[in-house]
Amino acid sequence: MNELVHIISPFQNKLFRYALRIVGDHMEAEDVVQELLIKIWKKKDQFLQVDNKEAWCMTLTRNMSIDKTRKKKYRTANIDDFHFIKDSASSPYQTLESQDNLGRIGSIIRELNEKQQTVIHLRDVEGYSYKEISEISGYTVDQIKIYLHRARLQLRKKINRSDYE
Amino acid sequence: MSKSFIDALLDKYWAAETSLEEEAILMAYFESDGIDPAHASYRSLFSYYKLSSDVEPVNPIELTPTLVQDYNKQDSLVVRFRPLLKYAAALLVLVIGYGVFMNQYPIPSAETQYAGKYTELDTAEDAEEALAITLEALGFLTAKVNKTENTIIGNLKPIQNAIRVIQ
Repeated sequence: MNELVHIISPFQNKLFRYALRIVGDHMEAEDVVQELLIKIWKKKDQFLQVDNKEAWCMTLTRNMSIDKTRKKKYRTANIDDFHFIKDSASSPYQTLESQDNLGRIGSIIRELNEKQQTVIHLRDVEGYSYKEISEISGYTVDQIKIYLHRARLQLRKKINRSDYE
Repeated sequence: MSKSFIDALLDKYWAAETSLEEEAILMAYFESDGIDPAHASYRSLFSYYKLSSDVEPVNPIELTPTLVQDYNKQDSLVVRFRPLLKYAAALLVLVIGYGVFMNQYPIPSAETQYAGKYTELDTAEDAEEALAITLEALGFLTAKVNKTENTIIGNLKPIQNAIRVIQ
């Protein structure tokens, strides 16, 4: 049991964030990861044979999270609810302004389609390579590049537009 | 870092052509204090990514023998009763279907179904009248049976003729 926890702990937070992005609820995301650990424990022989355990767990997290959202109609991910502003030098006004800006970015990202949100999360938040994203999401590397390109262009356009509003 | 270098990296970034290393350079640049005013509008985007990557579960996520046991109990209950679910669902559909059907086509009560078609007798004193009504009813029934018999005999004639021709 400790061996499994030891294997998973380096990327446990990534699993949690991925679940959170899909289910949009902090407690539910924790439940997903908890259930994932138990599932892995039940299939430990199969799990220990897997080459890329992190990608395997991320895929399972994705599937379990999607199942959860189907069972209950959760709102879509709002990861920025859990952002804690860590800028120690900022004044209360700057803090509010930062929160406002981050909220705006969060809203813009949630306007992207599901595939674009997935690749943005896996690439720009988690820093996975295209190959790893492909293993996790099932999209081809070319598809990932297209989704990412479109998503980033859309983000740039909306950020620039909202700057003048 | 020069503005032109960051401009070039940003162009590659929007086109999804940056490597992970180049993206790390951009991330570090937008975390720094020396951001060129021309790039200021993108700072929030990279801050958002940075903060998102720091989000962690509040409660510890553990794997203990008790948790596994509890999960197995839940799981085995679900597995045990899962085969019965289809029967329960079928029964539910039948009950609902029956309810809907009965609502659409209610069975009329005897009073409404035979209203005006029979005479209700209250006491034994009406025995003679009852006998008369029963005889009348039987007569009506006999007439109907006879009529049906004649129809059947009439319909049999062509068949008998056909059999005769075949023989």
